[in-house]
Amino acid sequence: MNGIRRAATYTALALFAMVLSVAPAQKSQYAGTNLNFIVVSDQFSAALEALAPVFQEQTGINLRVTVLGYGELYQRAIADFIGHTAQADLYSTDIVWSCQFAENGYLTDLASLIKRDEAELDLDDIPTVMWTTGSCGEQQIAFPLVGYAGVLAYNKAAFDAAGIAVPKTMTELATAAQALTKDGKAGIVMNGQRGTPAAQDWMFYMLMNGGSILGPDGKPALNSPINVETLELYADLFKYAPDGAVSYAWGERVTSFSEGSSMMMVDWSAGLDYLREGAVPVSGSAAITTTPVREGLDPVYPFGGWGVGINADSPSQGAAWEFIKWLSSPEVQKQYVELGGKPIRHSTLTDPDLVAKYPFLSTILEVVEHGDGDFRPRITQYSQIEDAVGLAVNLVITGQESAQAALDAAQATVAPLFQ
Amino acid sequence: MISSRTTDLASPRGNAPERRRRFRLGGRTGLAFWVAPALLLVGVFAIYPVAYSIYISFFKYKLTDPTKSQTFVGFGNYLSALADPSFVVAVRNSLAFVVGAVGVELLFGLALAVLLNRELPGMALVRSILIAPLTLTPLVVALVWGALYNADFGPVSYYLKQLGFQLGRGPVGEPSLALASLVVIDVWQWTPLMALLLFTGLRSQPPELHDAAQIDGASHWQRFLHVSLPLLKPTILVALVIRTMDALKLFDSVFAITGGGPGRATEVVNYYIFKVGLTYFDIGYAAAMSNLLLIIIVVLSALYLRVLRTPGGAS
Repeated sequence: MNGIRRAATYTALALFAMVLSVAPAQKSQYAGTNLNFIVVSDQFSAALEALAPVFQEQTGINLRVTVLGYGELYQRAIADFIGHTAQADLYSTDIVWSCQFAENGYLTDLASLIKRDEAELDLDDIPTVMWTTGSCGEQQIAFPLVGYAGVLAYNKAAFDAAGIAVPKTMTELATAAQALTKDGKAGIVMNGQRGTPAAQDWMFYMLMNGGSILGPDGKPALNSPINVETLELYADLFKYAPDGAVSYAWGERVTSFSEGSSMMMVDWSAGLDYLREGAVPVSGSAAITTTPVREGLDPVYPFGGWGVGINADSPSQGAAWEFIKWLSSPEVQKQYVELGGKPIRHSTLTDPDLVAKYPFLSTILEVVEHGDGDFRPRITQYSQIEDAVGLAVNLVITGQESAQAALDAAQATVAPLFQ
Repeated sequence: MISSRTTDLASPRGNAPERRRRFRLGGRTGLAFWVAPALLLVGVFAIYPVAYSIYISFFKYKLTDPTKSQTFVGFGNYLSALADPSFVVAVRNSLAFVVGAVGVELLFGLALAVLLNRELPGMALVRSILIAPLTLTPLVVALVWGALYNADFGPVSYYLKQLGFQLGRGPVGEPSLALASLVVIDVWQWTPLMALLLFTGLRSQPPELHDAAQIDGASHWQRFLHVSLPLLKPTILVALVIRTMDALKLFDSVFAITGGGPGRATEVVNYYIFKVGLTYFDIGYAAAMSNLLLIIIVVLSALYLRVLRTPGGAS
């Protein structure tokens, strides 16, 4: 992470010099305003830290980026909103928090500002699914900050050596996992740790297999036949996973793949360090593609990410909105990607220079065009649903309960939340 | 004495230097002045939070509820907790953890304390080394042990497998091993504290009693059993209460390593309260469970007092 930060800083300095040489010194009407932006610790946070001085130089608005861990950010944000202490003007908001934050009025509804500055924002250039990072009904409480695609990462060399094709369907995925499990290597690796790691990972497979958390009536349908079948399939895949995968979270999962111990994993396009030349042992052999789907289904891919919202209590609404517009502008988006951020614009995803440098952008574009940002429901009860699913998945993969019994219990836990 | 000083202070006849001197010496006003900061601190940081926690536990109060309503539910949250399978399992796991961790720490700590009490060469160095685990942050310890336990690339798992132990999914991946694995971490970090506390207890014992027992022909073991151990009871009591309270509040290793799994194998009370309070923000319910935890701690402490109280009330 320090290496990434250092690289990001050097790149930012270079870009900074470039920007200074071409950009006219046009200060904002909000020059001198202080903005505090609390961001989750992620790949893109280093990019934001690096871009802060560039924004400051161009607009005269002072931007301080504070990086916090996921849980800490959530707790700090809620405490700030409830206490109306305005500790931060801007918050990075997880896609699954959208409706919780919207219903409570924690963040400013940006819909009218977006409409007002429609032309300037070039809205047609932002794919529809990106808006799910901050939308709830008619409200848009956060502007897209980073879009993550759920992708299948695989070890190309292992597939070539085994003479098998990259899986496109769930059946092919299971077959490939079995075929690649040999010589002390695991065919696939998943998150098994109880809680968010297991829940989120299983939800990828649920979407891939055609399942959903909510039924057509908007009520939970955790124990639907397709979800039970997916959980059985998911548990079966653990036969081809490393022994310790039942305790794995994201870090261990990526390590197992990056070290060449496991041949496949379904992952967010957040880090993708394993695609960087020389970064990890598997560099050069690793590749990504779209996630497999159940036979006969139209391709729908997992989509997630973060938005940037303005604290409703912030006294610096105008300056905060100016920052959002600046960050989402096509020119800055290109710099943002160079620094480790992930794009929100179609033009950035298809930029010839960037695509030449980061060929994986074409996969992300495909996911974005067929992405589902609601496979993890963006509702107030999400954290409790996630916890119940995380327990059910863990109970099944550790052989303590059947998929049907575990999901029945999870359904019984969350159903009262919707009454 | 105090009242007479207070009267003097209140008297307009006393001269100023005299009043200042008596104030310093600790008249009632003076005592109140010195005690006030401590009382204020205890009030603000102990009494008020506990009182507020008790108050809020009688309400259905969710911080993230858009209606921001607080509905009085009486003992509803307490009854819900007692009927909540997750809370019941968490209490059971916490108690099992306390018995395992504190029990082993007491035995190992006592053995270490006896060893430290002997004037063997290098004991000063051993005592210094023993302090090392105590200086580490529990979360850091948990992260390190999490890596050590990793079933696929952790050295603990590797060597145990080499020795022929069938670990399956690893020490923290098997429901039957997970809680015991967390006990090992706790024992590693906190046995030295137990040892040092008991060592100071042994050191403070009057040597005359041991000399007398020795003259009477008592063996080493008999002197330990009938002289050292009874005299050590007050220290054991303090050590047990401190460690029990701490072990009941286990959080870091569950948070960093297991997330409460596999299944519910390592879900403990403190972690469950954290989840309900700071993930679901169901503050009223979390407060009720916190108060139940407080009651468990008080009951256990009273139990220790009862069991270890020396006849005559010496403890």
